[in-house]
Amino acid sequence: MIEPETNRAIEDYLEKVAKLLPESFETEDVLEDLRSHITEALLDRLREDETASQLTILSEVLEEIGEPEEIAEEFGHAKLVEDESDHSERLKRIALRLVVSVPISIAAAWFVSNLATPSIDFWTALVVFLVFALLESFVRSWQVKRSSD
Amino acid sequence: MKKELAFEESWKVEIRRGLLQYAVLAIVRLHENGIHGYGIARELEQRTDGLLEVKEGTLYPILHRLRKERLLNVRREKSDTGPERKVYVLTGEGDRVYRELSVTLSSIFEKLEALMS
Repeated sequence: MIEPETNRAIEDYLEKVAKLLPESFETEDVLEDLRSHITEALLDRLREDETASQLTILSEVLEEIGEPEEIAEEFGHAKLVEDESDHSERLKRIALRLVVSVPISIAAAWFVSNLATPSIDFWTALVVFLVFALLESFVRSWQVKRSSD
Repeated sequence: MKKELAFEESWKVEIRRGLLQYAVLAIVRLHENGIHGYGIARELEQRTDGLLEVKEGTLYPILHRLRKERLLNVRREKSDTGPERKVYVLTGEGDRVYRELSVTLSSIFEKLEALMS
């Protein structure tokens, strides 16, 4: 059974970590993991030495877990690597979109310029379709960026 | 102000960081039914004899990243000692990445040994 004073010390520690991390679902996830880790380590050691002071054991556990700054630094590094991979994924998506848009625009331009009574020539139609495809791509990227911010 | 690390210190930090991700995958792979974060930290200490000098709390951002990369999955189980806890399990993709990294690491160590001898 964890004493209220020890619980408060655990929450204080987690609060310090939380202050250094961005407010997000991911932070909640890491805090939940840390809380569970601290509780298990603490109870594990108390089983080995039932007479020991909970706060003394807790300070040993927290020493092994590391300073909140160390956790935040690792979290920051992990986020940075994720962001870099997100960036390369975004570039791949843009390239794929272009690869798909260009042949579709060519086919559409050929189709409208070969109607029985064409009102537009092939090259003008192609430029119009490509401009629409580019605009659609920009708007979609902007929407995705806004929803992820 | 943040103190700049000496070259060899920052080099060690980078090497440890990369190896730690591999070691975490290796430990989770040993537990078909999954393993919780505290268990990973304990095994890491025991199996590597503290070689990676990891602060246990820094494991969690790494576990989070491995999950995001879909190399690990999470399920929840009841704990005897307290609230529900997360159990980490290797995914099929995690297993593939682990095996590929193992081959790469063996090859790197082999070549480095030849270089040093």
